[in-house]
Amino acid sequence: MPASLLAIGRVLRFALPYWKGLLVTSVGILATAAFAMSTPWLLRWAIDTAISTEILDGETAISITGWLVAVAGLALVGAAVLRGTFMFVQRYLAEWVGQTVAYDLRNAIYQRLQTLSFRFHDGAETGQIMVRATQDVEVVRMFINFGGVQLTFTLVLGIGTLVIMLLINWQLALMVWGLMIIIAARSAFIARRLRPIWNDVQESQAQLGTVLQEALSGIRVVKAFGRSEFEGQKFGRAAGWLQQRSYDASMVQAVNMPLMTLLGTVALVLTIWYGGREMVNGNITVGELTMFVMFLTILQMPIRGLGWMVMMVPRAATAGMRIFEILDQESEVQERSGAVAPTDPKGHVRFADVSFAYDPRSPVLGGIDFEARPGELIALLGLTGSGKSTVVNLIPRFYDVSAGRVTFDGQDVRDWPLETLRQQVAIVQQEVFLFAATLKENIAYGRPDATDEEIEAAAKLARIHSFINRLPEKYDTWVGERGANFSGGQKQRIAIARALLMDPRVLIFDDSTSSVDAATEFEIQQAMAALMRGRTTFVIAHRLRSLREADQILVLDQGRIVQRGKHDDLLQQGGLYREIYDLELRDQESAKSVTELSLAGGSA
Amino acid sequence: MGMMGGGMAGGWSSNLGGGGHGPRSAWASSASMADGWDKEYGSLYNPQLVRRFGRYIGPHKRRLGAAILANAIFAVSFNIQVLVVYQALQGALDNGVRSELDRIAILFAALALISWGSEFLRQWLMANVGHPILRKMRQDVFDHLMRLEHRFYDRGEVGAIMSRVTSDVQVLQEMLTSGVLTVIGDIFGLAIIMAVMLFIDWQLALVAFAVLPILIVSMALWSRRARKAFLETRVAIAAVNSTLNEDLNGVRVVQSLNRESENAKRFDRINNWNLRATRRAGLLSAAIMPLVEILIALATALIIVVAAVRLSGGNLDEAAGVAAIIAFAIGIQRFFDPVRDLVLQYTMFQRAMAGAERVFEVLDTEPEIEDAPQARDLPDITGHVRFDNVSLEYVDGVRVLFDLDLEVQPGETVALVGETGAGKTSITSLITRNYEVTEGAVLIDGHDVREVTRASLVQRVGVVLQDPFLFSGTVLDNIMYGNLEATREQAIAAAKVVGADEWIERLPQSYDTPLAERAQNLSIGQRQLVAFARAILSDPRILILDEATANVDSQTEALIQQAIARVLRGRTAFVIAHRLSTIRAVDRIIVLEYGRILEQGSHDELLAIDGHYAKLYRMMYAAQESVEFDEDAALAVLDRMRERTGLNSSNGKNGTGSSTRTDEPALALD
Ligand SMILES: Nc1ncnc2c1ncn2[C@@H]1O[C@H](COP(=O)(O)OP(=O)(O)OP(=O)(O)O)[C@@H](O)[C@H]1O
Ligand SMILES: Nc1ncnc2c1ncn2[C@@H]1O[C@H](COP(=O)(O)OP(=O)(O)OP(=O)(O)O)[C@@H](O)[C@H]1O
Ligand SMILES: [Mg+2]
Repeated sequence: MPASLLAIGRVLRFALPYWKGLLVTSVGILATAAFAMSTPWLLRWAIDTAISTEILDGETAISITGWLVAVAGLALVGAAVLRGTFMFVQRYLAEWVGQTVAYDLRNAIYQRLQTLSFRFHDGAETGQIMVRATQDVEVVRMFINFGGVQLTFTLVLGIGTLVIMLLINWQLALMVWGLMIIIAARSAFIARRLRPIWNDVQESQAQLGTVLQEALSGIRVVKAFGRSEFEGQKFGRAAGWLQQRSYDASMVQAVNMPLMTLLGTVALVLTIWYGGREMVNGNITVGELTMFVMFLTILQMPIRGLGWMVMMVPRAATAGMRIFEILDQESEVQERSGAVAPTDPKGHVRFADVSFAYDPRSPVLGGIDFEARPGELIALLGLTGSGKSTVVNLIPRFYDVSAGRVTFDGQDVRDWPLETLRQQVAIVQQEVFLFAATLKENIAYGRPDATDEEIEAAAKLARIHSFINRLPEKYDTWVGERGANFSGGQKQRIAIARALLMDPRVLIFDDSTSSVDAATEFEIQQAMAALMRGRTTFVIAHRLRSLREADQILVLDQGRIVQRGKHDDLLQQGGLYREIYDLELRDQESAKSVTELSLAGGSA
Repeated sequence: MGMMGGGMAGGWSSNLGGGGHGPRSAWASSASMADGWDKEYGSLYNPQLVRRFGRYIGPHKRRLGAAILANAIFAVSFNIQVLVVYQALQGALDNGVRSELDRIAILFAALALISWGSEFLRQWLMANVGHPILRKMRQDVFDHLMRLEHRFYDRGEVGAIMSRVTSDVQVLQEMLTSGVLTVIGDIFGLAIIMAVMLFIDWQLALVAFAVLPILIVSMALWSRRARKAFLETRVAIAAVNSTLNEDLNGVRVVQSLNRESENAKRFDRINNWNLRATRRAGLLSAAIMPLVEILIALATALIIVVAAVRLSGGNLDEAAGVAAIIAFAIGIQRFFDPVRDLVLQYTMFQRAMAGAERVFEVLDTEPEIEDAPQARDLPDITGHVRFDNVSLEYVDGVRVLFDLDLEVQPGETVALVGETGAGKTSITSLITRNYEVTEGAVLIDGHDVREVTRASLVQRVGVVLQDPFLFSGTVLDNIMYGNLEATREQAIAAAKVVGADEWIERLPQSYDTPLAERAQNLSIGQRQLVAFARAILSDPRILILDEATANVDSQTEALIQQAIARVLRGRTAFVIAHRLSTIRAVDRIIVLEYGRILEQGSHDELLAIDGHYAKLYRMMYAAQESVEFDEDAALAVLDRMRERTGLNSSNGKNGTGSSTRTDEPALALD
């Protein structure tokens, strides 16, 4: 419970900046409640004074004062207009605050998610996060909007009417209020019972979302293996659980709601029965009885809703906890306060005895030590899963090292302002992600202010320009989600163009021409050769050809550098590099002969 | 009923937070869809849609009937209470008889019990009808989505499609069950309470009813504006959610390109739009209750005045008059509640209709590719594949494959090579009929793929896709996805074939290591290998390897080639690869350019004819080859960009003309 109380406290803190709105809302609530209570009171006055109803020896006698009746009627309408106005203001403001808090929460969640490090996103489920950012925020909004307002309204109204009723006839008041308290207590009890169910419902909704999202994102695999039914069953199970728990919640409600109505009606029966006697006995007036009845009618709705409102508190607490779980995530990668970037960045990268592990149980990198001087071309080579991508991901500080240090221009990357660092380092990631937007927007993603000319220049360097120009809508062509309507090589080249436009000091190509044919790759390399001059470039590739020119080749095996040097040195050394080279050698030899052949043919 | 009816009666159904108004947050339905597939609707009543609901309601007819009956009983027993109150008071006022009070109190209590029972019954029945309907609808939409083909998914955004399965279905189901019942209940209740009021005192009743037109007219005006406002909130929240969803998926790109602050601004704009829209809607929804309250007070005041006039004129019995005033004080509330509720339901119906159209639009999207009515299962095949004059267009008028003729013998391994975008993937995706050919036919063992069932087709064809999508679950689960009946040993054997066994064993829980979403915790090469093992385990006659080892190192690849030679024996295989070492050993190489076959033959044959392939091959290893493209111009543009944006300016300053100095960036060269 304390944890959930804490969550509610934090939710409310989000509403705190709007205390003025809340204050006016509260005033509005008080006024609304006061005017709500005035209606029965006016009615009583109308009956007792204006119509002056009296019971004498079982006979009803009245003496009507015309102008008083008129006054009573006007007062009733006047009070209602005032009450309506206050109610309007109060409801609107509550909605205003609720929506504004939801807006703030969504912005906070979005910004937190955007800045959380890769490590968080590696383990996060998109479906889960989406549910929190949508449905949980909605629950919190409803709580602030209705929960708070209605609950206060009910309390004020309840206490107010109780006092008035006690003053008029305490026996009847106690009788009625005994029932009201039972209703309230039952509400609280039900809320406790519903809490775990609602938790489950929320949880299973998230799960359903996850299954759905996965099936839709992986639809091509689902179809390739004819697994539609299998996915359907998975979905069915998730939907079934959701249904089961929602049903359980409904059942609790189905028992509870009518019971609330019943208790409310019993209160009315008691009032009529006992109040009727008291009236006949002359202990209360006709007007007073009417007022009692009216109070009950007014109280019916709020008291019945009490269960629902009370339930919103634990629901909001759960939702709040789930939201704060995201907001409280600290990014592993934190910018040191007062971090300053050295002026005149050069692109000098050093790894000093770096170790790294995604999961402390299984270290991925160990003793990585190398230096990349400005303008150098560094190649990384190694078996699948040997840690190449991991090494380059440490340079823009997507992860923090476990031991050792990575320095950029002599300064530990942890001492760099993140934004400046990442401006200097552009990475073409192995897994290409394109956004659902136009081609132009995709290429200019890192530089929204780039001109068309600049975008085209980058596209030309990435050898994608002429293809784009052949498209009917050229640079305004819509890119489907994740680039669904482009071939693999086209996607990679768009990603390359996107990185080039960043104009960084350090360029990293993580296997970024793997889906590009040899001819195009060659062209890109040629273009890059000019571009790379003066930039430090890291290349991960499996085709040795790309590595030949490298100033330094690092061969990785299970997270360690097992060989390093230039192409020729490495060939001398033998080992892994030589093995890979030999694998390709055959091809090279024959290629050479073909070249010679064609040259000979040409000159002949 | 009032508030309960509008927002809370379906407490069980409002999983998403049961507000009667405001945006229904859920999965994104993107407002930015290019093709407008996801537009919003606002049409009111569509008999055709309503008829379709019948299918869902059909099986629950009896329960629904019972629920309606319970509803009616509730309406009667609840509203007749007003009459009882009247009679009790009248009796008491008339002759002060207490026994009358006792009798009537008992009657009242009995009515209360009846309405309690019927309300319980109603809610119980509705829960038993509503939840199964919701589940069935969801499942139907999902199953249908699984039937739709690639072309559909090329267009739609996942987030937008998801919203139809979740929130739209929910809105629809709410209307179908609690909504319809509430309306029926309201109409019953209204009829009964009117009758009761007329019975008590028809003149006073008419006075009370006189306020009704004001309410109806003002609410009609209100709902017209409200509908637009509520629709806007829906579109806005959908945009918010889809932005969030996409930027979440692409967060690695966002961070590496430093887009955080720009994105935050963009998100804030959309979020702010939603805020303004919801505030506008809030203004409208806040107006309803006060309006009703004022009208109730007006009616009450009128009744008192009219009653007073009639009492003083002696036209009304004293006891009856006073009792009527009290009874009407209760009655008016019970009269206005359903009226207001009906108007609110009207808005909800509009929303539900919009939801319905969106749901049924999915259900109505007929798969373009579906089993022909007389489709047979593909019998056991030898693996003969023939492309007969095949053309393909993804977008009308933009041809990707041209009059392709290709015959592949059983057991043959062919390689498809060519520039990116030449159409390699497109050719293979026609074999499993992911897309429909525009012209010509694809035949497997002489069977046109359009004339066999897709299920039997994909069973015979194993694919390793270019994008190695893995599901959450363990490594083993993912390999077994290829063949659900396989044993663990078989799965491990498949992993061994692709050389993945070694590193899988090194994972913390080896084959039982759970994978994160999209297998983020594996390297890309590892993902490809798992996808490869998955395809091998499915034991297909025809195997398609679309750059299956593009991200895998040469050594592992060489190992795979050895191991797979055994696996491939007797199977037809299509191999797409850019590393020529991958394909040199295949039986036949097919060179494509712009969707046409340029040349084909074995590696040696192709080298001998010294055509396109030979050139490609040389390119791979040749040191220099002139390229007829002037990148200096492009570089100069980027260079000017640096000056324009002032970024890295310190680097560019002294770089003029120093092409020999390697520490200066090339961009600053001229
Ligand atoms: N779903 C699609 N919708 C529209 N156009 C598409 C779609 N898929 C591919 N294309 C286009 O069709 C052409 C051929 O694409 P395909 O994927 O077959 O090329 P590919 O030869 O496999 O290329 P890569 O080697 O880069 O994978 C490309 O120009 C591509 O842009
Ligand atoms: N996000 C992650 N969380 C946990 N483990 C990871 C993560 N990313 C990679 N690994 C593991 O770390 C090791 C190194 O992965 P990395 O991606 O650096 O390999 P790689 O050399 O780039 O391989 P490839 O050539 O296949 O891309 C692998 O064993 C992989 O399973
Ligand atoms: Mg990698």
